[in-house]
Parts: sequence; structure tokens; C-alpha cells
Amino acid sequence: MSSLVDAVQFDEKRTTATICVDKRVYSKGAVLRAFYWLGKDLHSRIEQDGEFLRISVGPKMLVPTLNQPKVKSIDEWIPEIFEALLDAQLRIEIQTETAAVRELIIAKAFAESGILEDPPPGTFDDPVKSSAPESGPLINIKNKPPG
Amino acid sequence: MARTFSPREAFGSFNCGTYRLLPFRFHRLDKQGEVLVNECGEFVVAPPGTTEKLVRKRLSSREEIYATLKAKHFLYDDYSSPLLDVLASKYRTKFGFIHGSTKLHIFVVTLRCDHSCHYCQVSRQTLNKGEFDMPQEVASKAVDLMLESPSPHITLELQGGEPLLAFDTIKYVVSIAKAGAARREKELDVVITSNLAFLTDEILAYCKAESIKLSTSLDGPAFIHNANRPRPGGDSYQVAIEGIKRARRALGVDRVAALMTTTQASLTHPKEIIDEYVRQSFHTIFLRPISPYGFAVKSSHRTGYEMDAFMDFYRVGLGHILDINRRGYNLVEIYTKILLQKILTPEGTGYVDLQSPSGAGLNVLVYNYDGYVYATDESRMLAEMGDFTFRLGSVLTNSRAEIFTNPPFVSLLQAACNQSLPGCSDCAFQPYCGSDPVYHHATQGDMVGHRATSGFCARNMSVIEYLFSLLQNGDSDTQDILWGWVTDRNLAEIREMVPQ
Repeated sequence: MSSLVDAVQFDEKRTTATICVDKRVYSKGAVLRAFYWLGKDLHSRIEQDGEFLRISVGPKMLVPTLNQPKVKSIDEWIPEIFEALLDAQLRIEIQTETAAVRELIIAKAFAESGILEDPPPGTFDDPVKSSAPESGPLINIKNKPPG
Repeated sequence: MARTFSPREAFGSFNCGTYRLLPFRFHRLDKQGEVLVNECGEFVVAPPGTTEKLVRKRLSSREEIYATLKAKHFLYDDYSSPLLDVLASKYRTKFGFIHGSTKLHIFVVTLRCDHSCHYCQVSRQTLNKGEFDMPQEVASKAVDLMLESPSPHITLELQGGEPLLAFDTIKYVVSIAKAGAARREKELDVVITSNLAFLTDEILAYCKAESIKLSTSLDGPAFIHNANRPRPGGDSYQVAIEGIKRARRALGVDRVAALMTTTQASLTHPKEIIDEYVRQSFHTIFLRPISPYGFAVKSSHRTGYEMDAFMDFYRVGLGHILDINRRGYNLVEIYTKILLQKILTPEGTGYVDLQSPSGAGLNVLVYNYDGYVYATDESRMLAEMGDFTFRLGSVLTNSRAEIFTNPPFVSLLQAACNQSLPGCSDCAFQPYCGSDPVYHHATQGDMVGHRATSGFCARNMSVIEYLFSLLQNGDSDTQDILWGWVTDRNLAEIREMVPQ
């Protein structure tokens, strides 16, 4: 199965491609977000296959028109697709790591309005100060012992 | 006074991956690198690959970009604090436009008009149909509703049709609005949006006495303006120019503004349009795309165009405007200025189209001649086409509380925050952009909309990307001019401040 990781296969006419990605590398959310944006130019079908996601994809425009005289082949789309997948995955990782801090920022920003029905998750104080209130990294020179 | 320093190792040592991320989004800029934008709209343009290194904790504290990312709240480490209170304060500042609720109140005092513009946002009526004027009962109730807005500063915009055809109604609305505002200790600005065809000395004297500003349309030189804005005699350009001159003489130059709409006929003439604004001594111009409503839809063969064509028009136009500024004439492109204020300053914007939560209803309300209340002027246009999705209620039967809790407004509100819209929620340009549920309903049949194919999204993404390219790669004159627009200074004043 590992040979399918990030594998790309094309149909005979090379008008569509099937891309297989490992869910440990690109989550389902990342794949959906990436193909949401690519949906302007590409049609896609996403299926789950065990630990993998199988995406059948092809350009919506196959022949040039007056409005769009240049048409990109599916081969030309592949680098852009993987770039979009990487970006979407990074965005999810950023959101996962920073979600609690983001909620705290917004909660603090609008706390004075009194609209919060429930206390926000996490520590409302500064996390660094909360985690080490007595032994923070900043040294007060005035109180530093001589020598 | 006690002073604190980080320990010696904090300055000399370097580490890799011991930092933590703060919320941010990113966007690849074509060949130039990546722009990282934090929750408050502060940005860093970094070399390609920086985001991946940052997220995967492969960024070393010894790298120059590390200190920049730390200083601008993209990461924090053992020797720094996330400064949540500072971020919260900046976040609150960005959303200052929410405070006070509805500030702009548009009164459609009549649907009558002598022009038959191809793109008109109103289904105009002929000159003599008095039943399309706002009755006094409606005007009184609309003014009451307007003054119930919590905002201490209210702008009353009187428009049509051609509002000067209903001058008596204007006088009535202004008189009761001023009296009511004084009673409630609110500041009130009054603007009349007119084609100026029916401007008389009596009207000018009235505007001067009441400190009323005039706003008009100027689509460019005669061949474009007359083509876009037909009227009997085919002289709408001449009428507008004469009206502008008379109004300036009577009221003062700064009391008369002009707006242009970009039609298909305009697309190949950005320089001629801009030169017309300079010729008429205007110092602002708003390169606006056409709204996909009203007669703009019915006559799309004459007015419609693809957003790519508009972007070509915008880029050429902005380049020409920058050249004009370099030659010493101060001319500001308003859309660029609004976006730059959002990108370069802590402030939000009063411009409804680029607000999230959407300003529709929250920051603007439209009172139609018949008493119906709409979320935006575009919402009213949709109603004229038979789509009443954004009719929020009526001044005759609904209170302000009812208008803001009726199903139409609640539906609108659900699609009003780009922070939670698919496509927008992880877009780097989210803090600079809006949501515009009315546009997406009109163009895609869905208030949430499909951002990947949205003209609104295409336009704003392109403009913002272009502005970042100017901020990064523009020459010193370009950067000075753009900074001058944000700080309301001309190029000479900026040069005096910044040593060359």
C-alpha cells in the first residue's frame, strides 16, 4: 500500500488524474479545503480508501475558448495541486496549534461588552506568566543578589 | 526604577523549534515569497518556504526573520510573552466600526429620474409619477427609526431616483431629522446624491444654509459619461460639469464630491477617466466596478464584464494615478486607500463592502420611498427586480428591534462574518476583506457564496496582492505616495517628513 502514497496516475487520454494521498500527511480537512479553491478550474471526486484518500481530478475546461484561450492540461496542474495540499495542511496545523490562544484573544477583546455567556477555554491570563509565575525568564536586576 | 533584562543566554544562544505559534494565516505571493498575516492584520512578507519552516518548527532563532516574526506576534518563546492583552487590544481596535451600530442612513425620497442610466441601481420612474415620492408619514417614521440608532454620529444620505425632483420632501426630512438629532444630542451630517440636472439657486442657498454636502456622478469625459448616463438632449456630462462648478462656487470645493462607475465602455479608457477628474480639480477618485444589480443585470450586454478585465483597468488606472501624484498633483484612489488603511494601520474601515461582520444593516440602512427598509442599496435594487430577500421590515409597522430580529436580518447575519465562511476562514487577507452576503446572494444565489468562483473574492484578492507587490517592490515615490494616502498627506509633505 505504501507505494500508493502521493501516487499520481493518469487516464489513457491524460484528461484526468487519480491522486492518492496518505491521511497521515494530508488530512481530510486539508484535501477538502485545497479542492474547494481548485474547484474554480478543476472538478474532483474524493473517496476514502483505508488510510488513504483517493482524488479523481480533471480540468473543467478541456478546449480553449475566446474568454480562456489557454487551457492547462492535467499534467500542468499537478504541481499546483500538491502546493495547494501542502498549504491547506499547514493552515490546519496552524489553526490546531493556535485555536485556544485565538479564542482567548477574541474573548479578551470583547470581554468588556459582557457578551460572553461562558468563560472561554484555556487560561485567561498570560500563559507564560501562568505556567511559571515565580520563576519566569525575566530577571529583576534591582533584586539580583550581588556577585 | 527597576529594570529587567533577559539572561545572557537569551541573547547569545540560538535554538530551533522551541517556540510556539500565535494565530496567523498566510498566502503565497507570486514569486516574491509569502505574506503572513496575524489575527490583527499585521503582516510580514517572507521568503518562500518560511511558513513551512515556521510551522514545522524548523526555524532557528538565529535567522533574521525569527526576530521579526517574534516582534510582530507570530510566535513567542521562552524569552517572550504572547502579549495576549496587546493582541486583544489591537483586535478590538480593528473592530471599532461595530461600535454604535448603524451610522449611514439612506433615504430614497423619490424613484423619479430624468436619466436612464444603463447600470442604474433603481428601476427609475418617469418624471411625473408623484406616487413614487416618499410621503411625509413615511419620512417621519423613517427619521424616528434612524435616530433610534445608538450611534452618536449619523449620516443622512438623500438619494433617488433624482432626489432634487422631490425637493420639498428633502426639506421636510432634513428639518425633522435636525430637530430630532438635536433633541437626542447626536451629530448629523446630510448629503444629497444627485445628478445635478435640477440644481437651482434656491436649492444651493438651502444646501449652504443647512450645511448639506452634494455628491454626484462623473463617469469620465463626455463620450463615456453621456453614453453611460443618457438623458433627453444627450447632455448629461455638460449638466454634471456645470452643476459641479455652480455647487463649488456656492458651497465650497470640499462640499462637492463625485463618484464614477466602471462600465464596459469605461474599461479601455482608464487614463481618460482619471484625466477628467484632474481636469475638474478633484483630488479623489474611486475606481468602482459595476454592481451586479438593477438595470446592470438587465443590460449586461452594455455594462457587464469579467473581473479580469476590471483588474486590468484598475492596474492601469492606479499606475496612471501614481504618475499624476509624482508630477505633483495630489489624487487619491479611494479603494486603494481603504485597503491600505486596513493593511498598514490598526484601524478598521467605515466602508460597508469591506466589513466583517458585514455592514449591511449593521452599518447602513436604506429607507425606500414606500417605507420598506433594506439592508443596503443593493438590497433595494434586488427588491426592484422582485427579490425581497433583504427587505428587513417597514418603518410603518416595525420597530428597530423587530427589524434587527426579523428572519431576513438573522439570515443575513449568519453569512456576515468572513471569519467563519468557507474559503475566507483561513484566507490570509481575511482581516482586510469583507463578506458581502448581498453580493453573493445576487451573483451566486447563496449568501455564503462559493469564494473560489466569486467575483468579489477575485477582485479583492487581486487588488490586495497587487498592493503587497507595490509595498514590497514599488520605488520610493510609490511607497511615499501610498503612505501619504493613508496619513492624508501629499507627496511633498511626505518627502519633507522622510529624509530622501
